[in-house]
Parts: sequence; structure tokens; C-alpha cells
Amino acid sequence: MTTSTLPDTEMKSGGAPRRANPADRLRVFGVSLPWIRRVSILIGLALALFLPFYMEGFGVFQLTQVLYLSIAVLGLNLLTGFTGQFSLGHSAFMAIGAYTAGIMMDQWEVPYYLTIVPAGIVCFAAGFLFGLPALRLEGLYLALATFALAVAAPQLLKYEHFEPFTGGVQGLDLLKPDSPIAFLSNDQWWYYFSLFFGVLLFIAAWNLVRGRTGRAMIAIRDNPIAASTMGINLSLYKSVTFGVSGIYCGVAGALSAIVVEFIAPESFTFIFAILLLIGMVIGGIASIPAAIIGGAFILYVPNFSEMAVDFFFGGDPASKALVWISFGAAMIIVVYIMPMGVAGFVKRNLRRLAR
Amino acid sequence: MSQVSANATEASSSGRPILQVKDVAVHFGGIIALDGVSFDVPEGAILGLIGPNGAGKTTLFNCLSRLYIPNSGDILFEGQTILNTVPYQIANLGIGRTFQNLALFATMSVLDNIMIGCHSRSKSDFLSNALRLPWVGREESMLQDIAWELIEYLQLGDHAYDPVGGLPFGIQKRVELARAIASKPKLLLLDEPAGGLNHDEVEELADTLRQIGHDRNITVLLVEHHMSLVMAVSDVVVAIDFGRKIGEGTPAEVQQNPEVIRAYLGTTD
Repeated sequence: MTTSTLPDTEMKSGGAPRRANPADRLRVFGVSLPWIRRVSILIGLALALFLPFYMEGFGVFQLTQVLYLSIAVLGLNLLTGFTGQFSLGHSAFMAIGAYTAGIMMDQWEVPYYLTIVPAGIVCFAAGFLFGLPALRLEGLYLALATFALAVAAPQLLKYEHFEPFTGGVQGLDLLKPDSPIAFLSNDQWWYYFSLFFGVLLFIAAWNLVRGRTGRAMIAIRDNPIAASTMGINLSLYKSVTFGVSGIYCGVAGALSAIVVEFIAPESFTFIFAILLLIGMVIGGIASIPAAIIGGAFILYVPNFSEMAVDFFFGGDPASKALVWISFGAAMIIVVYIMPMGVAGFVKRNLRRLAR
Repeated sequence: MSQVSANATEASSSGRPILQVKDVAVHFGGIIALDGVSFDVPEGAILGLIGPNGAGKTTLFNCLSRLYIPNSGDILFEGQTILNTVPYQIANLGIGRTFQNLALFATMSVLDNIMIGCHSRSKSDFLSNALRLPWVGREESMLQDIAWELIEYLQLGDHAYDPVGGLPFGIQKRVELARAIASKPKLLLLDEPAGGLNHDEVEELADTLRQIGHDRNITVLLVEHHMSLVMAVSDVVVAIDFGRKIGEGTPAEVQQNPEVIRAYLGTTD
């Protein structure tokens, strides 16, 4: 054993020898893993930038929906996947974000692009405040408390004394101006508008989880008592993570309100909260890019299920129930083939192919 | 006792007690886990706390790291009571610990586990992390330096990027030690560090503990069943049984103590 002293905090880099991660030397088809990561990010960005030019209006609209759903799934993943706090109530935070943006546009005629940040801030406050009492709850009990939030949210939005603001059961019809850029169609403009916030929030999440904060979040998930012993303030981290998770869902909600041009209490039922959870699990727990897969899954798979049911059963009104059955079947198949979600599946097979 | 203070002064500058346990009592319902235990840990020393199973060692330990609250008595660290300190701030005071049954962050790599040990020495928060401000990068680099130095020191280099959960027990024990040292504690609480280790690993641990005490100027409070380890490394030994202190002194003195011998039914190893 070598005899050395602990470096002081003043010590600059270059002190202790750092070893490279042996996994970085592994190659898949001659390409090292870090390069595969970089290239996939570039391909992903290129697809995100150019795809809308090769799609029809409705296709672009769906992509936009995937964007804000991914943001919401990412928000849930920060809380549940990374910090280990269950939530079945994230539809409520999306509702708060959507209604913040909606009421600002509808009542105060605030331009749509100025509503995103306030929606995030309001949802941070809501998440943080909800996180405080939730500190005393763990696991299934926290899931139940958040579930209550999801069940209550649509009822509160319908409450008659809030109706002048929320529009009650009818919801709010929102109007927004046309695309300000001549060569972009309206759908394309809303897509890029959402993409801007999506990219910002994904980068922020990536920065967050690879730093001191992310380590603390994972530590809380893995072993709260040890985390506390390391000097991590559990209450602060848990409640702020709730708030941050709220920001993501709030921005997603605001984007959904703007893009869909309509909000109603029934858009944010607990079913939607469960869909977000499904998106997180299918994409991959505690993985950031997985949120995009999760967002795509919860948008496209129910649509595909509907199309499949339509194809096989035609216009039979009873076939409506079959949509959920086939969605369930799709979910079982994915979970069976990829028990660690799509992200875990990709990672494992890359490792398997590597040499 | 003169020998004790001599050892302690040799290892430290002042020799004043860094930790004072004063008449600490803990009851769980009707069960008395600790019944007025008092002792001092001299700065720079290695103090071994021994006792048969159920003597109250771990209970005392959990009082020190504020997981339990004593029913009476006081615990002073550097002359200040720690009983008003919330658990997560214990690390900020300069008290680090390891756990009897390991409490690592299983899904994280060895490197990340040790970097978490530096949590109390670093300060970037949600906002600065999310924006990745320039100083966050510098802080991160500093934490990496601390972690890599400990990785080399405790010979963990081959496993630096492996998730801790899948590593052999002996290596996990070293990771936990590294994580505790990473916080640069003044006082290090070790709960049965030799538990589950083989003979060679225990020998190695004894070397490491002596080095930690002397090179890094860390006072060590060691709770241990492994008698030969305690006797080999400790400057002071405190023996407790049924929640009471039954002996205190140098390893040699404690080994001769009739009460201690009785508590262990005549066996000292």
C-alpha cells in the first residue's frame, strides 16, 4: 500500500492518476462506445431537426405531442427513476402547467411564448409544496398520496367557483397566432417551439444527474440512511426534486395547452398519470434518452392499437374497449422482451455485441 | 493510563478529547440498551470499543451518528454537543462512519460512491448543476482527484467503474472505508470493519487503519468483534457489556481486566 496524504481542496487536477473506463475501449463493429453515444446523439438531433420537413401536418403535430410527453416522462423519471420517489399524480402537475398557461392566455391575453416559464415556476412551487408533506411517506404510501392528487385535480378544475378562470367542464379554447416564420407551417413552428424547450430541459436534466446533485438523488434512492450519513439533506433534496419534476411537467402541460389549443379537466385524469408512469418504465428507469421513447410509446401505441382494432373489427362500437386490451398486450410484450425498458435493452445488447 | 495519553499525544498535536461520551443511556421500551456509558476519545488516537453481542456497541454508534437519540446523557464533539445537530449535518462537523452490514449505493460505481463521500465538502446545487456553471466543472474535477487518490490508496483501481452491488464483500468494505475517508473526517466511526473478512484482509485492514490514523490525522473509533485486530491497532480500548462500561485502558490493561474476561467467558479471541 502506498503512503500518501489526502489532497486538500485547493488541489488542482493532475494530482491523482485517473484511469479510463475500460468499457470505453469496447468496440461494436469497430466503433468505440463513447463514439456510438456521440453519433447517436447527433443522429437523434438531426432527426429532430429535419423530420418535420418530411412529414404531413398531422404527423408533425404528433411529433410535437411526443416532445411534450417526453418532457413530462423525463420529469417523472427524475423523481421516480433517479430519486426513487413514486408518483401516480404527475397528471396533476401537467394540469397545473396547462391551466397556468391557458388562464394567462385566455384571461390576461399574455402572448403564448411568455407562459412557459411562469407555468414552470408555478409547478415548481406546487411540486415543492406537495413534496414537503410527502417527505413522511415512502413507497406505496407516497404512491397513494400522489394518486389522490391525480384524482382530485380534474374535480378541482371543474369546481364551479373556479369556473370563471378554468372554464369548468367545458375547459378553455385557446387561440394562438400563426407561425411567425414564413417558410414554416404552423405545425412545424409549434414543433420547433416545443423542441427548443425540450432540448433545453433534456440538457439540464443530463447536467443535473451527472453532477453532485444527481449522485445525491441516486444515493437517496439506493440507501437513504447512508445518504444522510454522507451529509445529504434528504428533505431538501426530495422536496426540491419534487419541484424540479414539477417544472418539467408544468412546461409539458403549458406546451400541450398551446399546441392543442384546448384544455379541459378530462385531459388530465389519473389515467394520464399512469400513462406517464408506463412511458417511464417502457423507456427505461433512470435513463434520460429513454424519456423520448417513453413519450413516443404513450402517444403512438394507443393510436396503433386503435388502428389495429379498427382494421380487424371495423366500426363496431364495442371495439372501443379492445383498444385498451391491445394497448395492454403491447405493454406486456415490451416488458417481457425488455424487462429493463428499451434503454436497458439497448445498453445490454451493445455490451453483448462489444468486444 | 499514563501509557494511553502517551500514545495519544504521539499521534496528535493536542491530545485533548475530540469526542466525549457522557453518561449516555438509551432505552427501547423496557429494554435498556445503554445504561450510562462515559468515555473520552483522545484526538489522533484509535479507540477500540469492544463487548459481547448485544452489549450496546452499535446502539452507541447509532447515537454518535444521530440515528438514535439518547434518553439521557450527552455527546460532545470538539467540546460541542452533537445532540442538537440533525443527522445529515454530522458529516459537515467532520464525523464519518461505515456500517456493520454495508450501506453502499449499490447501483453506482465505486468512483461515484467515493465521490458521494465528498458531498459534505462540495457545494454545487440543483441550479448550478443543471446549468453546469464553470465552477461546477472545477469542483467536479476536484472531487474526482480526491476519489482517485483514495481509489489508488485502497487499491480499488480495477473496479473503479464497476457497480458496487456486484463486487465481492471484501472490496465493498474497502469502498465503504474510502467513501468515509473522502469526507475528510476528523473522527471516523467504524462499525465492525473486519466483519466477514478473511485473515489476510484483516491484516491488510490493520495496516490501513494505522495509516489512516497517522498519515491522515483521523481519529478512529472502532467497534469490533475481532479481538486481535482491536488489540493490535488500538491506543485505547473501552469494553462494555449489558449497556455499561466494564473496562477502559490500553489493550494490555483491558485484556487483564477480570470483568472483561468474565464477560467473554474467559476467551479473548
